[in-house]
Amino acid sequence: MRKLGAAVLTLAAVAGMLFARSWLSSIVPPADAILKRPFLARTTVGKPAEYLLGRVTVTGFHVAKTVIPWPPKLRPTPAETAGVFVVVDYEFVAAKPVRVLPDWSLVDAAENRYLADRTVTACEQPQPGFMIACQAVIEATPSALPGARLLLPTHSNSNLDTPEEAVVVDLEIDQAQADQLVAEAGQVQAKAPMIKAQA
Amino acid sequence: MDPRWPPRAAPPPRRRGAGVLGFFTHPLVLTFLYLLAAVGLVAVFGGWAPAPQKSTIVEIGPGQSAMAYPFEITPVQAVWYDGSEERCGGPAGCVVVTLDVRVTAKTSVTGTLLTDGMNASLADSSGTAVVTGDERFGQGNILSRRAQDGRAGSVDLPPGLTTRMEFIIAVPDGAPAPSSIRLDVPAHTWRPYAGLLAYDWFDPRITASAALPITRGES
Repeated sequence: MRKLGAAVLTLAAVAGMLFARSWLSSIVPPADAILKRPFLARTTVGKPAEYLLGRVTVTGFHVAKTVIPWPPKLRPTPAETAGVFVVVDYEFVAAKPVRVLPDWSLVDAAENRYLADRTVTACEQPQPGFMIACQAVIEATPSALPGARLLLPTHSNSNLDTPEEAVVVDLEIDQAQADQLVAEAGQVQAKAPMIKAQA
Repeated sequence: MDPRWPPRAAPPPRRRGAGVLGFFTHPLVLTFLYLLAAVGLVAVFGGWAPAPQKSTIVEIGPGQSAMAYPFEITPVQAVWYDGSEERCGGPAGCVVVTLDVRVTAKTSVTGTLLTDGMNASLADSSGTAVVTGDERFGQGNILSRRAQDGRAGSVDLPPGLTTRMEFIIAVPDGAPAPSSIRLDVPAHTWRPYAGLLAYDWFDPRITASAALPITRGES
């Protein structure tokens, strides 16, 4: 009888420990996830954000159905979409020499990620100390607009779902604004990168 | 007087299996603990071996949809043009295949991935193969692909959006006019590549196979 009691006690203890371990692992994030957690510089339209590569300000954005590409010589026909193009205007001041600024992407409320379209030339060779104005064009579904945020990582790698460091710009679009933006979406002429001023 | 007197009684022999330590050295308990440890090791380090999957080919026709992850494809039409058509890029004719493509993954996917591993075979009215092409291995006759608005086929296709794509397949000079085409699009999988998650070339376990009649186009 004493042996049976000890066996039951041991089994109960082992089961309890296993349960406790599984419960703890469900509430404590794994070390790997903590180490890989990105550094995010959060901001909104019109407010600058500093991150590893420099200072970024999204000055505005348009929603379009058609984008006339730039440079026109390389892409002679307008880009059209069954969804929408989000055309982002931004300014960038490099903190260090950067060969090409990474591609922007748009992340919707359901965490779908839309990568930049090649309809406009990327912000190439921004020099430290100069403010350069550039554009990014992102093709997305209209349903992606409410709650959408823009993401500018430090590396242009479309397969990297969690960037090490990134600027996150909340576009602050609600459903009503999204409907209005889609209804008014027309044609946008993409612009070339332009040096605006010495920062 | 002998100090050893009276003699002390010898301690009773220790019973095997008695006490807490004895419990854990019992063969049955030991076996249970070994089994528990083995299951734990497999669960933590090994994982369960995935069940082997059968190869699946989903046959579709015009207007029907099939999944070839990360794409859902819907064939629209196939049109044969003679060499006077500019898109054929030479004196030989070509077949322009139009597909509606929707990305079902959560991230934009380059259109190039659609043709990685894609196989096309054309047949004449008697069913005899006119030409087969496999772009991945560079043996093929798939000349180009593009979004129908003229952007290059390497355009990033956004998740959830249907994009109409065209694929131009060259027909050799002197070959009989093709009357049907079969386009096989294999599914792709995510696998670790160079420290990142990247799409593997293709996963031949699941293939969307589109059969289309070819109509004659006017240049």
